[in-house]
Amino acid sequence: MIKKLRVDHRLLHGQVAFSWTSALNVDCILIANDSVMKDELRKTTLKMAKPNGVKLVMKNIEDSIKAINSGVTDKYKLFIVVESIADAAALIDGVESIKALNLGGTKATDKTRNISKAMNVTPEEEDILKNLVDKGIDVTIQMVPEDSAVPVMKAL
Amino acid sequence: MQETIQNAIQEHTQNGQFSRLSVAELSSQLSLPKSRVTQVLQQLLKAGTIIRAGQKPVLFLDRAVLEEKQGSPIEGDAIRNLDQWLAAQTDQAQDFDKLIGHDGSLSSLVEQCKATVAYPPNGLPLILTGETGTGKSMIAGLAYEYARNHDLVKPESRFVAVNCSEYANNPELLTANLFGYVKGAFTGADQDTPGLLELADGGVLFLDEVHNLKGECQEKLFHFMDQSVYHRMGDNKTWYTSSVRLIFATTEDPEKVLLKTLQRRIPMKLAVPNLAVRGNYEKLQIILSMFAREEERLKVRIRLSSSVIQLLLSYPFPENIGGLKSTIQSSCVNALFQTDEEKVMRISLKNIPDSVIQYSALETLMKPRELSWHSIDELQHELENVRTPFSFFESVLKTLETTQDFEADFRGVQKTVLHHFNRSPRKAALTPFETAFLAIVREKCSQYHLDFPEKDRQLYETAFVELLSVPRGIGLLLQSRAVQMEDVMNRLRTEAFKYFSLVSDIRQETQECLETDLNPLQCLIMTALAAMAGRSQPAPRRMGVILAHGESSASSMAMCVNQWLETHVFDAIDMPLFVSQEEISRQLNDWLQKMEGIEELFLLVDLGSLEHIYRNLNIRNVNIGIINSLSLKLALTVGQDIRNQTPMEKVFERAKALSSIEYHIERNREKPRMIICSCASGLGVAEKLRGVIVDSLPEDSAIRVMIYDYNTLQQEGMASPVFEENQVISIVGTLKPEEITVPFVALEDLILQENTNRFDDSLRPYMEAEEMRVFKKNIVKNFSLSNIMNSLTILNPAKLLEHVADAIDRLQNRLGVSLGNNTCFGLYVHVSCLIERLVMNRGIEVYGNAEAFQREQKDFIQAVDDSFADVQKFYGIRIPVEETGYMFDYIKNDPNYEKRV
Repeated sequence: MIKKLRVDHRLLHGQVAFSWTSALNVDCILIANDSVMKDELRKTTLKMAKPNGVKLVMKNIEDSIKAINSGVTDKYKLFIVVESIADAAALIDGVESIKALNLGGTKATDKTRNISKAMNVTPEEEDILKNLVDKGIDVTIQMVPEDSAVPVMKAL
Repeated sequence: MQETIQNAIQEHTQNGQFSRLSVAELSSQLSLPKSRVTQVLQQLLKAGTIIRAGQKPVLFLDRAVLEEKQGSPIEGDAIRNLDQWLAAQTDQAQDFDKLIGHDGSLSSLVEQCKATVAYPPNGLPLILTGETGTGKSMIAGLAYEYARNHDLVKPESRFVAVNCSEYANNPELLTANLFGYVKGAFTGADQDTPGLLELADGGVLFLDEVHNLKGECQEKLFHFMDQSVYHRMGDNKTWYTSSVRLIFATTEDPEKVLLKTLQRRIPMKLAVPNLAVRGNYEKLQIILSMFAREEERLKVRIRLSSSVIQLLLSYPFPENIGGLKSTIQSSCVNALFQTDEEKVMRISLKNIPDSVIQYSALETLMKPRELSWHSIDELQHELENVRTPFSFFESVLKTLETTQDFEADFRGVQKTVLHHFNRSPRKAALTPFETAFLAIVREKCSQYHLDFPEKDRQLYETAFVELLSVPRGIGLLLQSRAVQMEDVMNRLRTEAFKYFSLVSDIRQETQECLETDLNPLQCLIMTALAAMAGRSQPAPRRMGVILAHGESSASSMAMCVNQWLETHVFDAIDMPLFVSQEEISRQLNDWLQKMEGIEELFLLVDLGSLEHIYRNLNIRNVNIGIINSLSLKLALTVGQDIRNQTPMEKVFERAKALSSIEYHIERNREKPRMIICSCASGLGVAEKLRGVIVDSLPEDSAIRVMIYDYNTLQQEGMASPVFEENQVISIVGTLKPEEITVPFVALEDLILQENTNRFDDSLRPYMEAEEMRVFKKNIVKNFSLSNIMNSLTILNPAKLLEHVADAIDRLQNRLGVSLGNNTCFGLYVHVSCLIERLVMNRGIEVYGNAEAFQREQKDFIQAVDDSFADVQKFYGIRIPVEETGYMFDYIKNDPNYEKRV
C-alpha cells in the first residue's frame, strides 16, 4: 500500500529518513530514480542513510511502475521518494492508485522561482503541477510531518 | 732670542711644517722684526746648525733633524730642491717613476719623452696622442716634473695646462688667454693682461685637446714656435718673448686636425696606448694603486673578491684609465656602508656598476668559484714578486689565445719556453719535494716513450722543476683568463694529444703523491716543453688512433686506455658531431704526416663506413687497419695487442670476436604502490571513487590511486600488466573481479568500514596508526562531500563540511559515544543542509513534541549548542531547538548511542 509519494531532491537525506518514516509508520522506502541506478557511489550513500528496520529499494522509474503495478509491493507500507516533479508525474501517470503528491524540496537554480521555504520550481514544472491538480491529484507542500500541508495552488 | 728662533726652526722642521720656515713667517710667528730674524739666521747658517732650502721664499731648516732623516751628513749649507730631497728621503718615486708602466709598456714612450724634454737648449715641442683617459695629461705633468728634477727648467717655473675644448665655442677668448691682451682689445678687456705663454715662461705649457684650436690660433702659435716672440691681442706692435716647452695632446689624428704648418713644427709625436693593450700586469698595478688611493682617502682597508678582480681586468673600459677610475670609485661608494667594525671594506660583484657587470658574460658569472678575498697590500706585494714570470706567462698565453696558426705559434711558444728557462739561474740542489716531482716526470715520460734529448736533459728537467714553484701571484693571471685558458687547453688536447695526456698524467700523479695541484698554466707550459722534447723523437713503429665524435670522447677513452696500459698506445682525434668525411680524412692525413716513419696504424672509429675513410688517406709505406666499432673494452684489447706486438691481422680477429654483445636486464625498480578503483557500473563512478580516496590519503602518501576498467580486469585477471608495473595494494569497487588475488574491498564496506581487515592490513605498512584513522575518517567525510555538493546552493560545501565534521567530533566526545559511520555520514549531510537552511532563514519551526523534547533532553540540547558554538558563530546562525530535535532523531537511532543509554 502506497503511504506517500514525495518529491525531495535529496531523496533519502534530510527529514525523510527519520521524521517521515516514523510519522507515516512505513516499512519500505522506494527510491524511484533513473540516475541513481547508474551510480554505485550514490546508491551506497543512500543505503547508508537508511534508517534501521526499514527496507530500502532502489529502482528506475520504469521498473518502479512495473513493480508497483505487478503487486509485489502491496505487502509493504510503501513510501516512494522521487527527485523531481517530472519523475513524480511519470509515476502518477503509470500508477493509478497514487492520488496524492507531497512536495518536500527542490533545489534552487537560475531557472526556478521560490514558492515555499524549500520548493523551487521552473515554469515547466509549474505547468506539470497545474496539470496534476487538474487531474484531481492532491498536491500539497509539506516539508516535515509536523508542518501543515499547504495546497500547491495557494503557492503558485 | 737666538734660542727662540732656533727652537721654532727645530720644532717646525721636526713636524714637517716647512712653509712656516721662511723669514716672513718666522718674523710674524715670533713677533720679531724681519731684519732681526735675518740677522740671527745668518749667524745660525754660519754656525752650521741650520740649512737653506729652495728659493722664493728661501726656507731655513734644522740641520740635525734633516741629517737624522737622511741618516747621513748633509754637505754644504743648502738644499737646492727641497721637494726632490724630501721625496728621495721617503723613497718616493720621482716624476716618470711614478707612472705605472714606465718600465713596461710605456718604457719607450717615457724614454722618448725624457729625451724630448731634455733636448738642448729648450726641449722640443711634443704631441701626445691617444684615446680619452689613457693618461696624456698625467704624462705631460710628469714631463714637467722630470724637467724640474733634472734642472732643465728653473724650480720656480710653472706647469700651465689649458684645455682647448673648454674654448671650443669661443676661439677668440682662447687666443686672448694664450697670448694675453691689452686694455681695450675687446669688450671687457679693461686692463693689460699677460697670457698663459707668459705665465709658463721658463716652464711648460700643456695644450690639451689641441684639435679644438682654431686655424688662426694655430698660425699664431707656430709663429711663436719659430720666433719665440708674439703679440698680445689688440697690440700688433709690441713683441713679447717667452721661453716655453710646449706639449700638445689630442684624442684625434693630428694629421687630420692640425694645420700642416703646425704639424711640421712638432717633431715628436708619441702615442699613448689604450688600457686594453697594456697587459694584465700593468692593469692590475693600476687597479691596485687606485684602490690603495681610495683606502687612504676613506681610511679603510679594502678587500676585493676574485670575481671583481677578474671583471675589472677583462672589461674593455671605453674611457680607459679614466673609466676604470670612475668604476673603482663608484664601487667604493657602493661598498662604503659594508665597512665592518675593523674598518675592512669588502668589494664584491654587487658593488660594481651595472654597466660594467652587464659586460661580464653570464657563464663567467655563473662559474662556481670559491669566494676569496684579497687585500690590496697583499695583492700589491704578490704582484711585485711575480713581475718577470707574469709577463712571460702572459705573453705565452696571449700568443696561443690569439693564434691564427696554432701549430706554428705553439712551436714558437716551445722555443720561448725553453729559452726562458735556459736564462733563469740554475738551482744548486733540489728539495726532496722537487726530487719526488722529478721522479714522477721521469716515470711518466718513460711510459710515453719520451726521452729528453741528451744534451738538453738537464735543461728540460730544470724547467719542469722550476715550473713546479711558479709563484702564487700567477694565480691572478689565471683568474682573469680562466675562459681563454680553457680554450687553449682544449686546443692542446686536439693538437698535441700525446703531450697533453702525458701532462695530465703527471698532474694526477702529483696530486695523488705530492698533494699539489698543478694549475692549467703550469700544465700548458709543461705540455709545450714535452712537445718540444718529443719533436726530436722518432715515431713509434706501430700506434693506435681513436677517432670519435664528441667534444672529448676519443681523447678520454685514449687517455683511459693509455693510463691503464701505462703505455702511450693510442692517440685521439676528437670530431665535432657534424663533420664531413673530408674533414676526417684531412685530420688523419695531418696525423700521418706528423707520425712520419710509422709502419702500422690501428684505427678505431665510432661511426662511418670504412672504405670512405681510407680512400682519401695519403698512405705511403704504412699499413692501416680500421675497425668501425668503439668501446673501452675493445680499445683496451687492441691497445694491449699493439703493445705486445701481436700481428695486425690477429689483433683485428680478436677484436671482431669480442664485438658480439650480451645483455641482461635486472628488474628491480621499486614499483609504485597502487590502489585500483574498478567499478562494474563504469569508469565515471570509478573516477569519483578515486577522487574520494586520493583526497582522503595523507598528503605526502606514496600510495597512488588509479582507475581501471572492470571488464578488462575481469578478462585479464592477474595477468594484467597493471600488476607487473605496480604493487597493487587492493582493489576497491562494486563487484569483485574473478581470479583476482589481491585484497578486494567493496565500496559499501569501505564507506561503512565493515569487513575491511584485509584492506587495513595491506595499508598498514605504508601508514602510521594515526594516519590510518584520519584516512578512514576522511573517507566518510569525502563521501559526504560528494553528496552535499548536489544539495547545497549557496555555501561552500568543502568548508561547511569541515566545520560540521569538527562539530560532530566534539559532540561525540561530549556525549561520550562513537557513532557508527552511517550515522556520521547521515549527520554530515543532514547538518550541512540544516546550516544552509538556517543561513537562508528557512529553518524548520516544528518538531513533534518540542516542549517535551526540550524538557527531557536538556543535556543533549546543551551538548549540541556547545559543540556547534563555533559553527553558529561562523555562519551567524542559531540552531533552534526544533532542528536539534531532528539531529537527535539521527543520533538516537545509532546502535552505539542506544547501547550507551
